[in-house]
Amino acid sequence: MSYHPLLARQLRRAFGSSGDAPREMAALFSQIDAAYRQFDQDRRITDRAMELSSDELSEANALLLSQNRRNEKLLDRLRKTLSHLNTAVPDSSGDDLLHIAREIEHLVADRQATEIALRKAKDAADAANRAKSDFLANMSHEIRTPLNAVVGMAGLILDADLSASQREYVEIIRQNGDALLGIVNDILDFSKIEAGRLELESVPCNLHDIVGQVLDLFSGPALKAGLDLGVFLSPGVPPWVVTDPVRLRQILVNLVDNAIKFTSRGGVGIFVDCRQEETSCRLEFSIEDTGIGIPPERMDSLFKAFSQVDTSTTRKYGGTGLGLAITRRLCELLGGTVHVTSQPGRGSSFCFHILAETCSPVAWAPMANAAPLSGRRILVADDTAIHRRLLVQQLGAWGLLVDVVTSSGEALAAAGCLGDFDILVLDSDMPGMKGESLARELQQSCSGTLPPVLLLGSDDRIAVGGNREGIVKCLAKPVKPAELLSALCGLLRSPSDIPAPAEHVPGCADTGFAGSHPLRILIAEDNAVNRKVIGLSLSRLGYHCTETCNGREAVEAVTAGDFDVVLMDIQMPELDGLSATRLIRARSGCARHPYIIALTANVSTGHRADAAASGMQDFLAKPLRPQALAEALGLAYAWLEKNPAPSPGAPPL
Amino acid sequence: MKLLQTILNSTGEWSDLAGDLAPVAADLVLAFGLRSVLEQPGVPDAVRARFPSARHLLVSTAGNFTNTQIEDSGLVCTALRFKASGLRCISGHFNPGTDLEELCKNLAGQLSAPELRHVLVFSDGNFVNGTVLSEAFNACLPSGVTLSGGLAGDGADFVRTLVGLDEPPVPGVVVAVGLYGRTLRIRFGISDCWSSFGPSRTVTSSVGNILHTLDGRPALEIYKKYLGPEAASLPSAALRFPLCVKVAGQSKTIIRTILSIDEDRGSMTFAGDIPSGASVQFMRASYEDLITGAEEAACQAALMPPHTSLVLCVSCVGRRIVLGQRSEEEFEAVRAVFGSGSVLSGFYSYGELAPSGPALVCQLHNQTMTITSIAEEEEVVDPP
Repeated sequence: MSYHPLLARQLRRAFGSSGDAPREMAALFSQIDAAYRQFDQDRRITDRAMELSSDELSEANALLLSQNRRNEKLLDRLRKTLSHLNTAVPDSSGDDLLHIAREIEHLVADRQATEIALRKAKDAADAANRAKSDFLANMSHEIRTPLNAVVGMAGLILDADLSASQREYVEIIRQNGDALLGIVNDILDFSKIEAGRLELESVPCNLHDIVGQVLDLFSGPALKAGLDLGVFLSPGVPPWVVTDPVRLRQILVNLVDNAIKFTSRGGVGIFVDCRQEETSCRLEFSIEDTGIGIPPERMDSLFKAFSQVDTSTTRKYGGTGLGLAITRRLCELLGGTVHVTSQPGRGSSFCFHILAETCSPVAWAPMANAAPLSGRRILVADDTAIHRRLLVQQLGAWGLLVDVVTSSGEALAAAGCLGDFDILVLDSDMPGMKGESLARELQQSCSGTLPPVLLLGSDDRIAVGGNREGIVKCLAKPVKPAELLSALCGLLRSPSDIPAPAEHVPGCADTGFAGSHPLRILIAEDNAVNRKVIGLSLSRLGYHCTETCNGREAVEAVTAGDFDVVLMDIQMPELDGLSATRLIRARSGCARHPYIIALTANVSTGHRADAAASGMQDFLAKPLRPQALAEALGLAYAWLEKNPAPSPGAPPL
Repeated sequence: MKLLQTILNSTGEWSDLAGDLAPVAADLVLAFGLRSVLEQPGVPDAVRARFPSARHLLVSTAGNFTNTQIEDSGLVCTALRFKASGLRCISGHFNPGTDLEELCKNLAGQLSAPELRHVLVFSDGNFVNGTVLSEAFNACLPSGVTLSGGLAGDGADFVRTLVGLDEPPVPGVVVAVGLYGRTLRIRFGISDCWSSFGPSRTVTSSVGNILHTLDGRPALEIYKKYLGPEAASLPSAALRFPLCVKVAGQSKTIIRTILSIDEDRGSMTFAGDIPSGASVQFMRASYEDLITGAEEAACQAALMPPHTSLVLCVSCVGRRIVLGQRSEEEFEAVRAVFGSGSVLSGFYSYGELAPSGPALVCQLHNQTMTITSIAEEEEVVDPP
């Protein structure tokens, strides 16, 4: 074993180059060697430890420094923020962390106080809003009752023998009453929606019927405004869906009403399409017009409550500004959305969709089969672009090959080749030449036999199907798809296919009705005007009736007299309609006699259920329509025929 | 009090070093030797033969002190006989699974008596957790009774430590010697003189005296990094860097030194508890610091006026590893403080037990020189 280099060198110096020390000193040198080595080892270990710990400390120091720098920046920002927030914080004291912390505590406390105050304010606002909605609902109801009376009375006066000027005045009263009623209904709907109290129904209904009813409703106004109104129902649209028919109709009516209101030339089209989704179908409606359009900057506020395009619009076109807000909320309630695209001066397109479930038909006449039309050639002559598009889409959807001309001139120019077509569809309102004349002209110009002609007129005079020269069939605009289809099929099958006359419905002024449906009728209605309206309506059907002013009187009258039918107002002083009905049922010991019909402006599902539960058999909505009244009485009569009242001594059922 | 220090060398011969007690009159023999010496057949018998009427206490060590020097080769026996004071020796055996606390409380209970002044404890230094041991004794000993002693050693091998009372020494034994009587004069000295260095680290995982991680890193990994090539001689190499342990809320720090390592788990076993959450720092010491420290301890323990006394020195094996050949200087510094009337004895241990602080509560120490001076008053004056 060799010695530590230092000891070896020392030994060489002392004992010559070999460095051999005297043998007896070997133990000593071993100890010296060990001491040298231990010294070296100690130094190595110490150096290493010092270096490592120094590195570690430097690292820790660097970390601390960077944290410190970050803290300083944070402090600086805090200080700045604080002095922004609170000018009372002097910059010089910013170094004091405790001070800053205290300031932050104050700010947090302030903020919490503000939050509490805001929350209280919000609660108060919510409560106020609810109170407002309640107030509106009540007020609307209070306004609607007398208004119904005004409108009803005006209607009755119009049936009387009036001078022209008197008729005009009454007509104005009725129109304005109707308009006011519309506004009040809007407000009532809106307040109900806002208060979250609008109840939706979910019942099977016929979509084609609903669209048809909307067309019927607006055929008069459209005619008056000189506008073409039409509908396109894509073949994919199921006839029967489960939704709230009243609300869907309301949406369509709102939008069509708006479209007609803001369109002076051209027309309004209703396009209906359907997309099947996983569990439901998505019904897509588009109401397009060729009206004044909406400026882009007004689009955003369009669906907000109490906002119209501008205040001048309100003055010019009227309305509450609630229609579109209600429409939007109704669409949302029915699972959809509504949006609008518009080009000012060119027209607007309101598109909405709802989600509904399809269902099997409840009861309906199936639409004619479009198969016979497939591959047939048809020429459409119509000058209104939107109506032309509706026709082309609808006819194309049924498999017809459609050609179009856009004026009577073009139609005449094509007279030479009319023989190529199976059917001609002529708009009777094209400028230049009326439909009938055009048909005659075509007949003369055509070299061969003129194909069957379907004339679409907005003129009342041709609204009934005719068989005039050259014209095989006439349909009144707006044309419903089902009517159009059946007319086209008829034309291709037999030229003499004339629809059966409509079933007789009870007239509004049919005094013979009481003769065929003899009934003893009691009226329970607290509002004198309404009582009068109902009484007059009944007398025009030939009835004499007894009137009472509240539930208590009604109960007494029923107990004393012998009535077949009671027309029972729901909301009455002293004893309301429901309680009165319960009392009558309890006292008479008969669950179903007399036949009680509820009268109310509140036609929600819940109220129907309440009325049924109290023992009422039918339900009539106010304002009372004479036709609905006659129908209800017809039903009552039929039911009483089948279920005669028990004889006075008979035990109760 | 009479003393005799003698050494049994490898050839089986006795050489007397100090004192004048007749071996047959001895009450107690403290026999310290390396494990290799104690495991030689016939050694316990030789002690019994020389001191037939004494209790024999045999402890394996990491080096022994005679009255004059450090002596590794033989068995250093220091025999004593009190003039007026009494003593009682008992032992217990600790196996893994034994409740150490119960064992120590039992021992303390057996020793308790009105005259009990001090207890010397010598224990296995491998299995036994010195912290638990000292706390258990503290809990049971009457107030005013002090305790000192040490954990047995095994050179720098850390394989097994042996203790025996009147029997061949084996691992796992705890021996307690009670010293009784108002005539006893006992003083203590303790000093470490290690200084902390480097960053402070937090104990992130530990169980009792087993340390797993520091700042989330395996403790063994940190030691290996610091030791570099010296890591090959773990665990003894780690004695160069004991830990300064500071428990939150306690003002005093305590030094903890390593006993063994577990390579698989990356854990290290220390002579006392390393509580989780405590902050620890590496420590180091210079020769001069250690030697000066030993001298300080000696001064604390010196009895005034000088009596015939037994000076029991228990020093840490870590100090010997650091000091190497210069360990003798540490001993000489101590020796110089005590007069010729004192007989020095003792050993390098795996853990020192000595009272510290004003209340003289015994604690397990590491890396210290602890000194217990025991003397007997010539005459006792009874209080009126």
